[in-house]
Amino acid sequence: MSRARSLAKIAGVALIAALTFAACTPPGSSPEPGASPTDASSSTQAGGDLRYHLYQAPTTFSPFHATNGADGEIAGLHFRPLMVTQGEDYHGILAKEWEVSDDLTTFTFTLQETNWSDGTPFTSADVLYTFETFAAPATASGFSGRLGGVKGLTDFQEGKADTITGLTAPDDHTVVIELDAPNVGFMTGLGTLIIVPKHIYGDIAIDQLQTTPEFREPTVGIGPYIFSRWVTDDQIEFVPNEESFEDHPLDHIYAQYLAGDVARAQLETGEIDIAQIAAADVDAAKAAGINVQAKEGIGVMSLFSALDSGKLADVKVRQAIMYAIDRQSIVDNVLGGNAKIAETLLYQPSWTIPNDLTEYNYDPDKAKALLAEANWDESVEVNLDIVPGQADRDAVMEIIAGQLQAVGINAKLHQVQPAELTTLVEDRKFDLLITILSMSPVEPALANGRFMCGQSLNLAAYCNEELDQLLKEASESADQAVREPLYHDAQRIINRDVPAIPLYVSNQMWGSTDRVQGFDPTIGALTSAQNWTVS
Amino acid sequence: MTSTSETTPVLSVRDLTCEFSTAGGTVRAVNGVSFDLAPGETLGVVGESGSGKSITMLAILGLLAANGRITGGSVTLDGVELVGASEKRLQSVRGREISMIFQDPMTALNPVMTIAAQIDESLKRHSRGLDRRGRQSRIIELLDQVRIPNAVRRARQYPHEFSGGMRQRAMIAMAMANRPRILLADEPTTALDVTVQAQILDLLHDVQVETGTALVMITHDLGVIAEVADRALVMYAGRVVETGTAAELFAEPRHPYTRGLLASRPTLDDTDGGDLDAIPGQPPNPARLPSGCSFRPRCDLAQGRTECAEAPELAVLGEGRAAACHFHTELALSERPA
Amino acid sequence: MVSFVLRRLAISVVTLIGISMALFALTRFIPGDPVSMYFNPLTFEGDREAAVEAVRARLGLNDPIPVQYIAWVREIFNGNMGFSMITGRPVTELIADRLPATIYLMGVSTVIAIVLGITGGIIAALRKNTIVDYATLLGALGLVSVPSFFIALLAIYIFGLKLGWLPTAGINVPNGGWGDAIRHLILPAGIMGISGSVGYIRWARSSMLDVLDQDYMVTARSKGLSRPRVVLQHGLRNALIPLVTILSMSIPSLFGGSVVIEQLFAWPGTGRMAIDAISNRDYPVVMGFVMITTILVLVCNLLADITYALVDPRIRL
Repeated sequence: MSRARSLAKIAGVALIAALTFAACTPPGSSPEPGASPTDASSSTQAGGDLRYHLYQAPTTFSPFHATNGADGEIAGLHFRPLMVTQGEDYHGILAKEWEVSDDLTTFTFTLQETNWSDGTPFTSADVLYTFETFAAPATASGFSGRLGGVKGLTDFQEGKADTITGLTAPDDHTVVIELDAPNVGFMTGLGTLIIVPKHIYGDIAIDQLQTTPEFREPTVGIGPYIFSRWVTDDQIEFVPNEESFEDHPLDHIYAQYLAGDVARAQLETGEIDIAQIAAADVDAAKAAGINVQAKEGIGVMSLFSALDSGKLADVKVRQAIMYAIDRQSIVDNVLGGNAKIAETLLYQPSWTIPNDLTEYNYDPDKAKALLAEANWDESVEVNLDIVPGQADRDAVMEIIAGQLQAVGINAKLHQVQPAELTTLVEDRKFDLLITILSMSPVEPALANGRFMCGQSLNLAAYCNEELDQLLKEASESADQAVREPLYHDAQRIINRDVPAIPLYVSNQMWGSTDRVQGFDPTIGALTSAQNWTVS
Repeated sequence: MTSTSETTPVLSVRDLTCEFSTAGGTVRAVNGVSFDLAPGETLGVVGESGSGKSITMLAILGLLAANGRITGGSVTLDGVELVGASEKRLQSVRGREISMIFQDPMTALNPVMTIAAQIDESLKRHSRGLDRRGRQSRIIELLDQVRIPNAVRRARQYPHEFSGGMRQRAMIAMAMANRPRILLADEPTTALDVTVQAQILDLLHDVQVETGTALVMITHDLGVIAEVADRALVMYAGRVVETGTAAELFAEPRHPYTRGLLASRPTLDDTDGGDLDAIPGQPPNPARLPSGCSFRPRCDLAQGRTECAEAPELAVLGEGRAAACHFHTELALSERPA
Repeated sequence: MVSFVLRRLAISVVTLIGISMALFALTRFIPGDPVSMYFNPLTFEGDREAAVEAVRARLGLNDPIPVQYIAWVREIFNGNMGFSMITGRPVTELIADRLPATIYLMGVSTVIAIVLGITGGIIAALRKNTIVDYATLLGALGLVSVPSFFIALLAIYIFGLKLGWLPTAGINVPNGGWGDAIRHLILPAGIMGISGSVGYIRWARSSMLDVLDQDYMVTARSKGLSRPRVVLQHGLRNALIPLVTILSMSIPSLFGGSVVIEQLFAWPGTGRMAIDAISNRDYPVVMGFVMITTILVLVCNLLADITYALVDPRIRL
């Protein structure tokens, strides 16, 4: 018997050892050593590994099915779009040049002459294939609306046509897009879509694209760094793409998802080189010797209400709320000053904003007066809807709850799970839902869908015919001198109507270690990796 | 065989005193016990629960529980003092010179080791000269000696696969493995059926005769004393109250407790359906002994006489004969029990 | 023994079927439609309703639940446990990626917990009512009172940030070797091991105390055996028999992992995967994960029962 017992003991130990051993191998320990940072003695320009923090867990490389920002980043590094916005301008990547017709209905892109990472030439066929796949209903892509307004789109989507007539490729390096109606902002929307190789994905059935392993481990890319392997389920290894026309000096880039606190700690220990930092941690990070940079204007944190279901339908009530919240104090105390208040939901570009907008400074008395004028019923419960989990938002909503109650609005915090949120929005039952809205720093017309009557992106279901007219006119001209006064009027309406409560425009704070050179979040994050080197 | 002054005793206990520290204070469980054990003799130790008989035996081997200690007296084995000896010394004595068997063989044997393994353990410790094969054959030999059938097969079994009587035999085999000079048997038959009892007693007797081991037989059953003991001690409340040969004790008890024990035995002649002649009262709680003579509360001889306020000395009545009662003479003159 | 195993296997299969049915139905009744959630109404550009409908039809989510169930079972026999609704990855791959990491971490931490716990408990029992005993019990009480995530954060702060001795998170660095993997394992496994040891300390102490009172301990001493031998071979050997049962109770956590620890240490295990799948109503992943875990738990419990019989000769299956 003791023999059987010893046998069982040995088996148990062996099992644990085997599991340990087995589990040790998948998490990416192949014996080949990468060029360690220490051996690049005086050469600061070539080689080295860089470790980058992904703010969310990456799920797929498919640009059609990107579920979060991290997906956008990794897809944007491995594949590339035609152009990106840098600062307040466009920077062409796969598009060398572009032309917009005078009547703003025809866009011509001249493509970069380059190859995919497997040597296959990059051609306009890839672009057409990608755009049509974005638009196809069977793909079920969350960006299908980007092609709205292209000639022949409706026929294509309804199955009456095999291709979109407004998308043509006169030759291998030219793409021409024709719209039904002039739209100045169209180019940004389309130009920033990420292009995938037709010769890899073209043969896969469209409704299988979401699940194809080719988007889990893409074999062909075009960015400066391309996918090499999933080190673990949360960590991706990128290697330089020799075919890329962009710089690729590093040996490896590792993009890893970590919880925010962990990333912050790892910046200090040097286990990670670049990471986002919460506003509250900025001072501590600086004190620890981390280089902190800000990307401003990431988005406006706002409170949205379903105007069609009534509680806040009266504009006076919304104005009252603007006066009731001490937004400057929130910026100073919760965000450490790393934000700015905005008086209008359309907070950028700066040329659209006139300097005579009403400033809703903190004034509880005025708020009460407005509420009285609106015959506000103090017994009505107003829900402050929030998906909990981010410290900034949680703190902000608590403060807002108090400040609204102080002026006589029966405001209550209402925490929702992501599943409930969808239902809440679909049923139009949100009173003051906190969410962040981003605007293009270059092209204000991209935001039209959020303000115009009946648009699906118009979360508040706000409608003002006068505003619609102004925005429509402004999108029909490319001349800023013409557009500016139109936008100024539009902003005045938005400022007065308060379709949603703009709280503050937050900065995205980034930390990087001294090892990293060339990192500038205002130009871009992971998708600008071609500029990075390590020492 | 009676103990004579010419044979040196193999074991000598003098004024042994043991105390336990408990939550209620210090308890003196054994109070000045003395006796000698001659080589090869069978000594019976009779008493009720709480009389201190088991504790005395455990104390001899230094096996008291953590809260107990020997506070006085001496125990000599062939003249070598065991009280206060080092643990190493005691370990070399236990299982080799002095072995012990216990009352309940089911709980006294390790349930997860085979019988062979448990005996082997003892052999390995004390019979260094034997190699593995030697030990194996010795184990079979021992099991044969205690008359366990199918010894080879049985050796590989576990205690729960044995019957009560067989377990006790196995324990005896284990105790005898290294041919000890003394075997302490703590109520070895109490937990067994009457028929099995007789077999075990026979076995012990045979083993003793074959090996010349001295046997200390602790029991509360006078019948056992009558069967096997050469001499016997009667213990009460931590003290020896009477000594003598079995015949002497039975014929003429010189302590009221002994007399009471004898009288309380039911005999086959008791057909009148009357009550048993039990000794009135309860055995004393060792933590709260009565002052003076411990037996006084239950004694019909005391009758309030003042001498009983003092604990009686053990008076020597003859060769190996003693009694601790102020009025033992009165008992000598009383009617002989039928 | 053979008939016992066969009987158990039969019961296990029935259990598995029952669980799969119940779970399948339950997940569909929880409010929240995963397809709707996937297409975020706040950011979707295009015809969201059409997209939702298209995907629901493709996944067969509009069929009655029993029909969906049959389809799922049929696919299982083809070796396909479905695809994650969020990432599109095959469920089998997802679990195969993450489960080993959890087993690895939980396995090592359980070993640590047992070794620490039993050693501590035994020592406390042997030195009952002395300073050592009180200190051990007090220490255990203290540990169980402090949440493990707090200890984890403290440890990361001290050992990772301040002293820099150990990595702050992750399972390894890419291309790290054995030594690196062990360095990454020390904090999470150590913390979980120490937290987990508390239960074992108390149990081992009481089991050992029980055993120390047993008659066979006196018999063993009376044979002149050395003290270590008596304590180990006779005492410990009996005290540890119930360990198999205690261990088998912690088997489910071996596969479920600890969400908190995995999140804190960025450990790519099943704890976080399961929580995310549930929050996102990712039915295929939830079903796949529960099925596989159930199978593993049933198998391990069977092995535990067999081991128990091997370890205690009084048990006959």
